[in-house]
Amino acid sequence: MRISRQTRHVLRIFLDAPKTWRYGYDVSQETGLKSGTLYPILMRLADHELLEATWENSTPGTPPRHLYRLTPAGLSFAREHALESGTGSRPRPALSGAKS
Amino acid sequence: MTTGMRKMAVALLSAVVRHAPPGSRAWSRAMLGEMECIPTDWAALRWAFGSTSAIFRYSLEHAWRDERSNHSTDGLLKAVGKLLGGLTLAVAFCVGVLAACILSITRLSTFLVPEWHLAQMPWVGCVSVLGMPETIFFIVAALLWRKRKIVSAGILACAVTLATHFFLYVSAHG
Repeated sequence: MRISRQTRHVLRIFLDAPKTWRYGYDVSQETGLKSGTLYPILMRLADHELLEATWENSTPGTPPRHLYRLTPAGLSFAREHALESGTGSRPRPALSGAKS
Repeated sequence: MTTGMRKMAVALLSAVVRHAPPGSRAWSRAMLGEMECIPTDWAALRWAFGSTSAIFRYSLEHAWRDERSNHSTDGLLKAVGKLLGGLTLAVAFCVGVLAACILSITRLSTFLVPEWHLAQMPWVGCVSVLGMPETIFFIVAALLWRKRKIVSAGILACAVTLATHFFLYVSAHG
């Protein structure tokens, strides 16, 4: 699997708190990646079974949200690759802050 | 309050959810689910456009991968050969038509009706280089569309290329 600078950045975000489930928008905020860049990375990681996803139990009237975290295989993959060279500087946030 | 821009963003992603292939539908629903939490309308619209492009690329990538796994190398080579053959035929046809149009109006008219001096009239150039060939291209492409789709698409591509080249040339040279 090809590891881009952005993929490394996403992996590092997930490695910061490996057990925590994260929303796609929050990952976008933390990495500064736009949806058009972030989701292909998440999809590729999920295709390789490095990322698992689940649906949040939503309240009626609001659409359910997807949550993501690394699988055990994803964790070891991330530990192996996230800190490799080519990390570069962190991209600037793409979108302004999320609603709390 | 939901503004028009946000409504447009939601409508775009909802359409993507409806039309996405089964393999990427969950992903598009996930992208739509995030819309509620995006604070500004511009950001929501950008999110929708980015998500649409991500789903489109993912679907194309998977369609291409499935196609490759479904077809043997022979089948793939045959398909590529058919495509190249059709496109070559289309290009040859278009070049022939274009040459025939230019020759028929500028040269042939000089022999048949020399008193008209057609070759010296400025509008004749437009008709012979653009008007006549484009008309023939579109008629032939429409006739071939059902049975020879590749050739038809090739002719349409040539028609668009010729028109673009003509307008760029005219705008650059006056």
